Amino acid sequence: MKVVFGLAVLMWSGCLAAEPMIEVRIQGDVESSESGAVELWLLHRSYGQGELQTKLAVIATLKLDNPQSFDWQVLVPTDAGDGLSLYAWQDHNGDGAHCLPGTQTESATTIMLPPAAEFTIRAELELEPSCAGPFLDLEAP
Amino acid sequence: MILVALLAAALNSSQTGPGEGLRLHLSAGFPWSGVVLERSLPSGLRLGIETETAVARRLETRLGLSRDWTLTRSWLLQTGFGAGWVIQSPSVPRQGVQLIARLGARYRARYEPFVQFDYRYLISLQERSIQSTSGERTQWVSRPYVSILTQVGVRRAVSSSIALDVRMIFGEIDEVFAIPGASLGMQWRMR
Repeated sequence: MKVVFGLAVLMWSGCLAAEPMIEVRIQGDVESSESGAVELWLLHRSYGQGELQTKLAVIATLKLDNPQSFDWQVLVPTDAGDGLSLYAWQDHNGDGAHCLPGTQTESATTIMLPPAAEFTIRAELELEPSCAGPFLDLEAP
Repeated sequence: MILVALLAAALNSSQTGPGEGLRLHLSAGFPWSGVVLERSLPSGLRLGIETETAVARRLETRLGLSRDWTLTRSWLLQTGFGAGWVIQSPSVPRQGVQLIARLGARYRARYEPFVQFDYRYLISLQERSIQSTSGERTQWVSRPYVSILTQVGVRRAVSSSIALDVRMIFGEIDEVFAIPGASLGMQWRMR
């Protein structure tokens, strides 16, 4: 009986606090001179603490059939990440990957976003031929 | 502190009778260290309470039942199952109920080699506090995670009641490859 009681106490004393999140609505347009599916990555510019801190951590992704307008509702964790950016890449050749070796240059871009606390964010993405991945050297809007 | 309190509670509750035994196993290593307290039941089953921690970031506590099956004079098969609670933080927070199935084997000899497979199914529970334009609300999210761990080692009895062991631990934790670990252990059997 005491064993069960001890286990129960340990369980109850070992609960994590609720994870704070902000529900953000990102509305925008993706423009490109090429056709092909577009993948959007919403990223924290920095995530984690201490030795485990990392840059550009993916929060969520969204796939669009073609460059077009989008209206995306997403939950953004606020306790472990800082800064938001939005990366988009386009799959011109339909191979499901961005710029595989030996294939043509495909389009991409990264933009900085305002803080999640604004709840509704406007994002305009102009894709340009580039095999770049998401990057950090942008100033916040 | 919690481990000591848990251990003390378990020891107090164990009133070992004739033919019953109590086994305490302590292990220390990287990343896993732990305490196992088992009591033999008249039915041949063993009731155990286990607490393990991975570098103080992940804590697993469980209650389980296990049984030994004699295959031959030398080979022993071990089966078991249990349930408990997992908590992990920070950076990758995780908590929830964990179910475990265990299969092991050992060869009875002076140096006793053993192997143990664990299938651990975590029902992760996370509470979210969501701020939105319409106010604040809470939401519980559940997600399953499977961990498969293999332990391989060798045990050597140094007296009638004490044995020492060394083991390697490898596999996946929450469906992610885990860096292989190793630990040293001491088993104390009381009758």
